[in-house]
Amino acid sequence: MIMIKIKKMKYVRLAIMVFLSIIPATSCENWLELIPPDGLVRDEYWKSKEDLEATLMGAYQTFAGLDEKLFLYGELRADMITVDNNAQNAERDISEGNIYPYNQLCDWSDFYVVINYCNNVLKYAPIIIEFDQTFTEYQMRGFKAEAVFLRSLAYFYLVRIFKDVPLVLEPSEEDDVDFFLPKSSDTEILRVIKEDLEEARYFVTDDYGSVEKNLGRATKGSFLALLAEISLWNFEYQDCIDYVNEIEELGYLLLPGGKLFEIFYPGNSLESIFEFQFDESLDQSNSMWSYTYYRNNNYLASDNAIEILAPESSGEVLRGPVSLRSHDAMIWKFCGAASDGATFRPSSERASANWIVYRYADVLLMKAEALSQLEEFDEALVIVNSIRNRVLMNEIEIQSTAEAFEDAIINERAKELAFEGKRWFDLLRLGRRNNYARKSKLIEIIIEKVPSTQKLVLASKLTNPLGWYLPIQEDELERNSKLVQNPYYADYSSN
Amino acid sequence: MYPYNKKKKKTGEYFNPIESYQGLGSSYFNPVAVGNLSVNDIDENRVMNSFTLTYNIAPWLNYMQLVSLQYVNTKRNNFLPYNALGADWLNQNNNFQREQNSANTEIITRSQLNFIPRLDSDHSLSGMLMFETDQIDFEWSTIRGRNGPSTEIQDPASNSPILDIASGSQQTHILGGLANVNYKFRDKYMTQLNLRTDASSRFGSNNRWALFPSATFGWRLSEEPWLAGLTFLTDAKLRFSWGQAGRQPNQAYDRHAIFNTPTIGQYIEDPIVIPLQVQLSNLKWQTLTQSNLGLDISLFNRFNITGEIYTKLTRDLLWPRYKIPKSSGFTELKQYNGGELLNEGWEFDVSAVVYRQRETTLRLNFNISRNVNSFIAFPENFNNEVDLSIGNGQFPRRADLGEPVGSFYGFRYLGIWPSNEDVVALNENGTVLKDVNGDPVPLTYSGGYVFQGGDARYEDVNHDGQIDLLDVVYLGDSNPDFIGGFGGNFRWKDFRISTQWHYRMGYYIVNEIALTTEGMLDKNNQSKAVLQRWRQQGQDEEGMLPRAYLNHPANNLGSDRYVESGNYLRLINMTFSYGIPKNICQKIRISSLELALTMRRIVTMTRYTGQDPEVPQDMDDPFWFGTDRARTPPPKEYTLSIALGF
Repeated sequence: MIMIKIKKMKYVRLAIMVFLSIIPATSCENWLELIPPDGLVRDEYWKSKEDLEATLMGAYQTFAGLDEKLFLYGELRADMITVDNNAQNAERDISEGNIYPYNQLCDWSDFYVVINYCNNVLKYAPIIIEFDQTFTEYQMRGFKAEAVFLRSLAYFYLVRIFKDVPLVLEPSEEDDVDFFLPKSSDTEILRVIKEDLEEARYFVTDDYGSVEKNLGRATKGSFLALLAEISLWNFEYQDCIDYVNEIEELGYLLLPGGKLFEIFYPGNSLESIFEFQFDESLDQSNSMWSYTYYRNNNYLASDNAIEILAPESSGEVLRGPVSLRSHDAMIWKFCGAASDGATFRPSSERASANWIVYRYADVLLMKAEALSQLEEFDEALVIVNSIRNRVLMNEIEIQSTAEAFEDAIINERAKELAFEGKRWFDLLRLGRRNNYARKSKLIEIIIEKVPSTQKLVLASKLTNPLGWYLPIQEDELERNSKLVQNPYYADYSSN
Repeated sequence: MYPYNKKKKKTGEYFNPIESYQGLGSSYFNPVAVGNLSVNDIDENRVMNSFTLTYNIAPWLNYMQLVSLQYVNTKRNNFLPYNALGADWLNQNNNFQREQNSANTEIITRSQLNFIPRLDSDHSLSGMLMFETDQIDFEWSTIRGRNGPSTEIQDPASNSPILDIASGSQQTHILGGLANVNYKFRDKYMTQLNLRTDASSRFGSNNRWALFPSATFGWRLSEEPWLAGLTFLTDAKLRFSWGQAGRQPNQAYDRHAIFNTPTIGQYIEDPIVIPLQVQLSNLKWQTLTQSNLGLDISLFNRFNITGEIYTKLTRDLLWPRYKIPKSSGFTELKQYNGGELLNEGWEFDVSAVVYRQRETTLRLNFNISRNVNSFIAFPENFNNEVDLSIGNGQFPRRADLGEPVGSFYGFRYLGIWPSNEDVVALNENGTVLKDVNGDPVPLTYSGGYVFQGGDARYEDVNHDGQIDLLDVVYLGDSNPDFIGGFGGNFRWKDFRISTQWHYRMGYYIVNEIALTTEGMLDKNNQSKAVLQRWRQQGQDEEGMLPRAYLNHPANNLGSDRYVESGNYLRLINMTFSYGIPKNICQKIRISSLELALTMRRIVTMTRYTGQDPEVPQDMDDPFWFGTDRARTPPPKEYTLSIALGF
C-alpha cells in the first residue's frame, strides 16, 4: 500500500495557487499569434480600394519590367537585329536557332507573376466593395477591366511565344491551391481571353488624370487594339476590321512626318495607344537604353535592317534616321532625342524611353492586312499608302492578290515598327496563315541573315512549325510533372 | 595598381590591373590584396543571466522557478579599400563600407513542481509538472556605403554615398509543458513516462499545439535472483525507450502571406503593394519518432560494455524554400511538410579500467557506430532527378526511395588520350567500333565535339562512340560505414594524461577544390598541379592532367577523377595535467591548484588530399553527397590552463 502523508494542507493549497497563477490561461493564444512588424498579412490586406489599386500597379510595373524580354521575343529570331559581342550566350543561341530547354529565355515566370497579381485583383474586387464604402461599382469594374487587360496581354504573349501554356485563372494564395496545372491549348486560351476582353472593355475609363496614366494604363483604345491583334492572330479578319474601325473613332492620329521622333522622345504622343511608362528620375528605369546603347555592344541593327531603312539604300529619309544609325548599325529609337543620329537623350532621361505596345500606325496596318485577306484590295492600298505618305515615301502599287499584299504589308510593318518587338510575331502570322501555306517564305526570310554554312541546318530546323515556338524551360518541367514539353524539343528533355 | 613604378622602384601597392587577360579587375582581383587590406570584423557581446527560486513546500513537494535572459549584440564591419581591387575610382566597389548591427534577445521562464512522495524501501516514485515560456527577439539593421573618401574612413556613418539601408525584426513565442513520472521497484525495474506539449507562434492556430509522448523502460538483470550466481557480472541492464519530438520552421513568419512594397515602389506615381509569399495554412510540426534498445553490462567491476540499436523516423519533414511551378506566380513555398526519413543504426561502446593500483590507474575506451539515412517517402510532386544535365564541374543528382542518402554518380575517368591517333571508340569486344560503312566511329561528347589528344578520357560504358548521359555510373557513397573513437586516460600520483581519437571509415568525398582549380577551362586562378599537364602530342606520363583549353566542352566532367576516399583518424584531444598536492596548497593558503596543457586536433591521418576530410553532412537533403568546398577546417588548438580554487 502506498500512503502519502499530507501535512500542512494550507501550504499545499498556497503552493498550487502560486503555481497556477503563473500559467496564463486564455491569453495563451493571443500571445502565440505573431505577425511580421513590417508588411501586412493577408487578413489585414484587401480591405480598401487603395489595396486593390496598389496590387494592380504591381502588375503594370512587373509587365513594364519585361520590356527587354518583349523586345527579344519579338526580334531575336527575326531578321532585323544582330547579336553583338557582349550579349549573353543564351540570347546568341536563340538568335542562331540553337534553342535548348535550359535556355534562360524560356523562363516564363515574369508573365505569370503579372497574371497572379491580376487574378488577385479580379478575386478581391467584388469582395472589397462590401468593406469599403468609398468604392463605387463603376470604379470596381474599372479595376477589374484593367486586370483583365493585363492578364489577357500576358497570355497573348505566352501563346505566341510558347504555344500551349497552363491557363491559371485563380490567384495562388494558399498552399491548398493546386499549383500543378497541365498545359491548355493555345486556341482555348485565346478563346478565353477574347471573351474576357469583350466583356470587360466597356467598363474601362479613358481618363486617369494625366497623359502618362492615360497611355500607361488600359483604356478603351488599348482594349480594342489587343482585340484587333488577337483577331488577326486567329485570322478572324472581319472582327479585326471592326475593332480598328472603333479605334478610328477615338481620336488617335498619325503624327506628321516632321514630328516622327516625338513618338519615341518624349513619347506619350497622340499616335500612341498603350505604352509602358518609364521615368528614370522616379527610379523607374527601362532596360532598352543599356541594351541598345552602342558602347554596350549588345544588339545592333542587322544588315537587312540597314538595307531597308538606311536613307542611302532605301530612300527612307524619315523612318531610317528615326530607327537606326547606318554608320555603326546602332538602334536609335530608344537612345536618341532627335533623328539626327547624334543627339542622345539627356542624362536625366536616359533610361526613360517608354515601351510602346500599340500605336495607331500599327493598328492601321493590321486593318490593311485583314482587308487584303478579305480581298478588299483598294481600301487596304489606301491605308498602306497613307502610312507611306506620312514618312514622305512614294506611293506604291501592289498586285491585287492576297499574297502580294501580305508581302507588301509585312515589309511596310518591318520599316514602320522596326525594333518595336513586332517582327517575329508578324512572321509567325505569315507562316501560320492558311494552314502553313507560306511556311517556306518564313524560312526564306529567316535564313537570309545567317552565314551560308548554317542556312541548310536552320532551314531544316524551321520546317516543323512546332519549332517556331520556344520550349518550356527545363527547370519548370522539373517542378511540374504534369507539364509535357513541346514535342519538337522532346529529345532534349526529361519529360 | 602596379607594384613597381616607371623607375623600377617598389610602390608598395599590390598588382591589380583594371583590365587584364582574365577580365575586369573588379571580378578578377588580387586575392592577396583583398585578404591583407580588407576588413571583415565581427564583434559579439553576450550577456547571460538566470535567476532560480526554489521553494520546499513540503518534504515531498518542491517548487522551482527559473527566469533566464540571454542578450547577444553583434556588430559586423566590412571595408574594401580601392587598392584591393582593380577598378577605376568611381566603381561602386571602391572604398566599400558595410556595417550591420543585430540584437538577439531570449527570455525563458520555467515553472516546475516536483513530487517525491515517501514510499517504502522497495518502491521509489517521483513526478514532475513543468511549464515553460520562451520568447525570442531578433532585430537587425544594415547600412552599406560606397566610394568613401579614403581608406582610413571605414565606417558608412561618414558622409559617403549610401548604397542601401535595410532593417528587419523577427519575434517568436513558444509555450511548452511537460508531465513526467519516474518509478523504480527495488532498483530492478524502472520506468519513466513523459508527456510533452509544445506550441509555437510559427504555426497557424490550426496546427499550433502538438503532443510528444515518450517512455523508457529499464530492467536491471543483474539484480534478478537467477543471475546472482554470475559474480563477475557486476551490473547488467536492458533498456528500451520510445519517444517523439518536434521541430519548427527556421523562420518566424514563413506561414503568412506577406504584402509589401517591392524595390521599384511605384508605377508612374501610384504606390505598389504586392504579395511576397504564399500563405501556408497547412504548416505543421515536423515529428521525429525514435526508439532504441540498449544493453549496459559491467564485468568484474572493471569493464563496461554498452550496445545499442536505434530507429528514428522523421515524418512531415520541413522543406524550406520548396520549389513550385513558376506558373503559380511564385517560385517557392517558404516551407512545406512532407516525406519520411528513416535513420537506423547501432552503437557499441566498451571502456575498461585496465590497471588499478594505489597511485596508478589506466583506463581505455573504444566505441564504434554505424548510421544509415534513407528516404522512405518523398513529399507530393517531388522531383527526384535534379541536374540530370551533364557538364563541366557537374555531377548529376538523383534521390531514390529506400536508398541511403549520399550516393553520387558520374563518369569514369581513365586518364588522358596521349595523341589524336590514340583516340578510338571501341565496341564490346575491344575492337574498333565501326559504322554501317565500315568507317571507324569517332569518339564524341554527346554527338558533338570529337575528342583529341590531350583530352580527358572517359569510359564509354555502353560502347556507342558517345560520351553522354548513358555513360554515367554509380561512383561512391558519402555515408561512412563506421564512425567511432578510442582513447584512454592514465593517472600517476598527481599527474594525469588523457587522450581521445576519432575515426571515420568507408566513405568518399568529391574534392571540389580540385575540380575548380584543376579544370583549366576558364580564366580563374589554378593550382600548381596544372604544371603537370599534357602539352604535346604523344605525351603519356603517369598522373598527368589533361590539356589546358579555354571553354572546352568536356575536359572537366563530373567523374571519379575528383572522388577520393575520406577515411581518417584524428587526434581530438590530448591533455597533460598536474595537480599541486594538497599539502603544498595548504601552505600557500589555497584549496587547489591545477595546471593543464590541452592539445586539440593536432594530428590527422588520412589519404585525402584536401584540407579536411571531415565534410559536414546535410541530414535532410535527399540529394546531398559529400563535397569538400574548402570550408575553413577547425583549427589546431594548444591551451595552457591554470585552475585556482580558494
